[in-house]
Amino acid sequence: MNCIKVEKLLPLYAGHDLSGRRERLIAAHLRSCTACSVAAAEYREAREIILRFTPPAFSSELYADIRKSVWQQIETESRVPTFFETIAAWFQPRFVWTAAAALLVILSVVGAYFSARRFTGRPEAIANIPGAVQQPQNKPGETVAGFSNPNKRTTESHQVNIPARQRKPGRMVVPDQAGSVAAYSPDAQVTKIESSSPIIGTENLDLGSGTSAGTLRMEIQTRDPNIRIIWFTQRD
Amino acid sequence: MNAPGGASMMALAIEMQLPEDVLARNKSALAYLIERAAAGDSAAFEQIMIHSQQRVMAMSWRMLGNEADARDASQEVFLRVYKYLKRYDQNQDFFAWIYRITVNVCRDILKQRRQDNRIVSLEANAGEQALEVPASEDDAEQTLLSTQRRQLIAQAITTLPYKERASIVLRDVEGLSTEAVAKILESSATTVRSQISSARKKIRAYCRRASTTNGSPP
Repeated sequence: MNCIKVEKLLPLYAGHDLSGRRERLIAAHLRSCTACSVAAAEYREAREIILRFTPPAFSSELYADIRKSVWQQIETESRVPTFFETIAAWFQPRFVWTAAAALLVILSVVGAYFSARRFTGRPEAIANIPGAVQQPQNKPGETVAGFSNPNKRTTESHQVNIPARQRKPGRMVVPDQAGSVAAYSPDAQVTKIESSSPIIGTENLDLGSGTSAGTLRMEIQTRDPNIRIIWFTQRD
Repeated sequence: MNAPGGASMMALAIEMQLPEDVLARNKSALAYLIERAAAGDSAAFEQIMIHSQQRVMAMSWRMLGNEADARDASQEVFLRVYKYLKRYDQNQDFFAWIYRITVNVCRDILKQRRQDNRIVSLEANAGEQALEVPASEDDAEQTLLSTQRRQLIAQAITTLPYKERASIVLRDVEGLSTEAVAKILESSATTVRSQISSARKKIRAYCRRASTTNGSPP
C-alpha cells in the first residue's frame, strides 16, 4: 500500500472501521512511513476528543419539566375541543388566508363572467344603432356565388326596419347572423368574427368585388355607425 | 403479552428508580413497558421517558448545540414516541428507533432554525459545558487545554453537514456500529462510512487550522 491509498483510509483506520486485512496492511505501512503515522496520530487524537465530547449534566428538574410538558401537550391534543374552540380554530391565520384566497378566486370568476356578458353583442343595442343592421338583399342580381352558411340561424327578431345603407355596386353583403359569422368570398375565403368582438353589424360585412380582380375588399360596420373598417387583401 | 418477569422488573424500576440502562439490558421488561404504554398506560410511558431521557437529551444537544433547542427536541421526540408507539416493531431495537426519531426531529429543528436565520451556538455552549463538567486534570493548564479542545471540537462539529454530524455523533460519541448508524439514518453502511471518513477528515483539518492559528497543538 502506498501513501496515497493509506491517506484515504486513515480516517476509517482511526475508528477501527476497516476490515482486518486492510487494517493490518495500513499498520504495516505506518511502521515504515513517518508522515502517515503522524497523520494517523492526528486522526486518533481528533477521535479521542470527539469521544470526550459530552453534554453538560442536565438537572433532574429539567428532565421533570420536559416530561411535564410532554404530558400537557398529550392532554391538549387528546382533549375534544369545545364549541368555541372549534369556532376559534376557523379563524386561525392559515384558514383565514385559505378562505380569503378562495373568496378572491370566486370573485374573479364571477367578475370575469359578467365582464364577458357585458362585452357580448346585445341584439337590442345593435338594433338601436342606425344603419347597423341591414336586411339581406338577396336580389337575383346580387346572389353570391358559392355562398353557404351552415351555422345560419333565424335572426328575424334582431332585424329592424332601418333603411338599407347605400352601397357601392358589386359589393357582397353577408346576411345578418347572431354569434359567430362565417362569410365566404367567391374564392371561398373565410372570415370569422367572434360574438365577443366589439365589431357589430356583421350583417354589413362586405366582401367587395368592385376592385380589381386580384384584390378582395372587405368592410365591417362597428358599433359606432360612423366607423367602418375597410380593408383590402390579395385574393391569393 | 404476559410477562410477569417483565412486569415485576418494571414495578421494581418504578419503585426503585433504577438507572437508565436497566431497561436497555432487560429486553423483556422494556418490551412489556412498550406494550403497556402503547395500550395507553401512562405510568409505563412515564417510565419509558425516564429511562430514555438522558440519551435523547444528550443526542439532541450534540446535534443542535444548545440546551434550549435540545429541550424542545426532546419534548417533540417523546410526543412522537407516544404518537407512534403502536407502530413500533418489537423486533427492532427500541433505542435505535428513538435515535431515529431524535435525528429526524433535530433535522426538522435545524431546518426551522435555518429559516429563522439563527446561528448555531454550539461553540458558545461548549465553553459553558466545559465549566460545568468537573475537569479530570489536576493542573490548571491542563484544564484550560481541555476546555480549548472541547471548544475546538464543538466548533468543528458545528461546521459539519447534518448527515455527517449525525453519523459521527452516533458512531463515535454514542458508540453505535456502522450498520446500526446506517439503519437509524436510513442509509447504507458504505454511505455512512464515507460520511464518517469525511467528517473525521474535516475535524482533523479544522483542528490543524486552529492549532496553526493559535500556535498551540489541538
